[in-house]
Amino acid sequence: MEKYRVIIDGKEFLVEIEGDRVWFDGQEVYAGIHFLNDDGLFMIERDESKREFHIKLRDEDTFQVTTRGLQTEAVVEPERRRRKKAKDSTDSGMIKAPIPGVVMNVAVSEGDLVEANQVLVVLESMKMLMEFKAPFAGIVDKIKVVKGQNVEKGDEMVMLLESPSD
Amino acid sequence: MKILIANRGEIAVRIIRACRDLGYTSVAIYSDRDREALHTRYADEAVYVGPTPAYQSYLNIDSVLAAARKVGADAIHPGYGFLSENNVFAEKVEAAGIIFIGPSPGAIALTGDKLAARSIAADAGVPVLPGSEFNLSGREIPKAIGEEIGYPVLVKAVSGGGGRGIRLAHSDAELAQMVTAASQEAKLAFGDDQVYIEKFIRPARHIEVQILGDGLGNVLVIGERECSIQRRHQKLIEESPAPGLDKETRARLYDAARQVGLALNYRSLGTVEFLLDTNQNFYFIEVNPRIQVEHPVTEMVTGIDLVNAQILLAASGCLTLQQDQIRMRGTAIEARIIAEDPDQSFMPTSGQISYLQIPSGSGIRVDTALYQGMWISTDYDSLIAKLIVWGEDRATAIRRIIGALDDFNIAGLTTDLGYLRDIVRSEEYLSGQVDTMYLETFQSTDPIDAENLVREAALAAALYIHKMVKCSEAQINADVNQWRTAAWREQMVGFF
Repeated sequence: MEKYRVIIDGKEFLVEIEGDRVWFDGQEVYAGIHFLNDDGLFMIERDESKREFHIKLRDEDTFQVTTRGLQTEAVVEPERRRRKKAKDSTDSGMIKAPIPGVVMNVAVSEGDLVEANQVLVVLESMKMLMEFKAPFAGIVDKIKVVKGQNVEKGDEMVMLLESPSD
Repeated sequence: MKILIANRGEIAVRIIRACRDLGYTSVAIYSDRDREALHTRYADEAVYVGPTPAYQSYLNIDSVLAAARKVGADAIHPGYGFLSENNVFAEKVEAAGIIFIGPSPGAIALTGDKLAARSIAADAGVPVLPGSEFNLSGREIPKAIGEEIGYPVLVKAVSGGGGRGIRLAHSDAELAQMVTAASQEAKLAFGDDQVYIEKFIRPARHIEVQILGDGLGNVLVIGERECSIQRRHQKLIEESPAPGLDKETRARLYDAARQVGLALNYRSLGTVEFLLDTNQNFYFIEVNPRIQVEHPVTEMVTGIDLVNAQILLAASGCLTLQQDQIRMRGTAIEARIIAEDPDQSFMPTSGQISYLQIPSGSGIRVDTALYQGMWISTDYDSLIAKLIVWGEDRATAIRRIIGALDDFNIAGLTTDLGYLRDIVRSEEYLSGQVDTMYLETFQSTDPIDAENLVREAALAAALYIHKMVKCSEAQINADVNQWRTAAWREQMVGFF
């Protein structure tokens, strides 16, 4: 079973999905999704209601949801990732390639002090550029890739260490 | 006949449509920003007039005139805003032997001088608010003038417009300050620091009358519009006819508007604006010498295409309509969709339209230059669309605009759509009992079904993410938006 926490306007909802079965805040609902185009437009069937939605990714977790008479922002956090995230932040600052690609630029050097959200590496994949930013302020400990290098999914790119708090 | 439209956005598209109706050739002008704009593509011809900043392109008189000469335009339609109320532009157009689709340069100059317009109205026997008959800036303010008029008073720019150069004063001490403040703002905005004062009345409704004159002593009155729903002097929702206006008051208003038109020997379309107090007394405010943003509500209730009529009049020199042919039927309402964020003190917003759903159906009209994929910048006016509905009666029109606003969906940038939805559902609006201060205290309340909608949105978001994470890579399109989602999905996969 997959669990998703959805936060809209400060209200939190829990959606659980297993196969074709869906639970909303613990209660089973009959709901399904049909994609209407490749650009975020789809239809949700829920009992007798069939409603059109449009979803646009704002950033990592935040989506702009548009439907008849409502436009709002939803933050979606899958349960497992939430746990993983919590572990990550105490664990390591290892930046890995999430997809295969080519390193277009390494924007830092070992020993550099970086701010949170500072760009570390730029990867090209599927003809698009993807920036990898520092998840926290810290020191660049190790750089394991060079410009022009091909990377596979899961390859380690940059190791970041948290700055000692002052 | 070839007509150059010296404007952009929805009004340019609106005027191009009128040219098509009449079988005339339309010519658009465009700036760098508007190379791909709808009006540029929509017109029969399009001419580049300069860089993005308006003063270098749409406000650049020499550039616009050069474009008109280049294509051999017979006439220029200025739309609203930009050069539409610039008498120097109108003069130069006429001097170049081109028809200016608007009032005579002299009439534009007179209506642009609010003090002059006020005295013309007063001389024509039209009520004006008690006020000063002269400029107060840069001179000693006569003692007791404020007391004589009666506080509070509004300090207004002589060359005013768009809500700028206006200040409210409650006492002699405040008056001196506000005269200084308003004249400084007026100097910046209009290059003219002259200000005057007028009694401030509240509660009051803003009602305006549409006129069409031939400049030969004939002035038609084409109904009125209620425009009391304003935010900082910017109209947001307009309707025609004005709700609850009694027959006698309406007749007096029409007569007053006609008198002002006659006194100006008015040519082309114009709007005479009035304030109406709770005792059905009305007062002249000003004349707008151009097509108005809210003209479609008049078109919907009268069946008259105002832009067609305006162009035909300019082309032929004579009116094709008679007063007794003009009738109003039902109610029309317009809502202005603006790229502004109501939650961020109405700051202009920008972004790319990633999804656009435009309402349609019986009695529904949308005037816009939007298209999916368009970038909205803050370089120009933030008005991006107008939704106009018509209903057999006011209740039907309101139900229709509620439904149509729900059907109007724009993703990619924040707009005032939610705010408009809240206003048209408010009890005060439904009762027709709103004055110009209504939005000052208006509080958005959640619509009845908001909770359900939010729950549905939450469910939809979760189902969407679930599907994106689970679906096969082959289904992922490589375009930009989709790529980001795909990357996100890839990141997610590792965690499942």
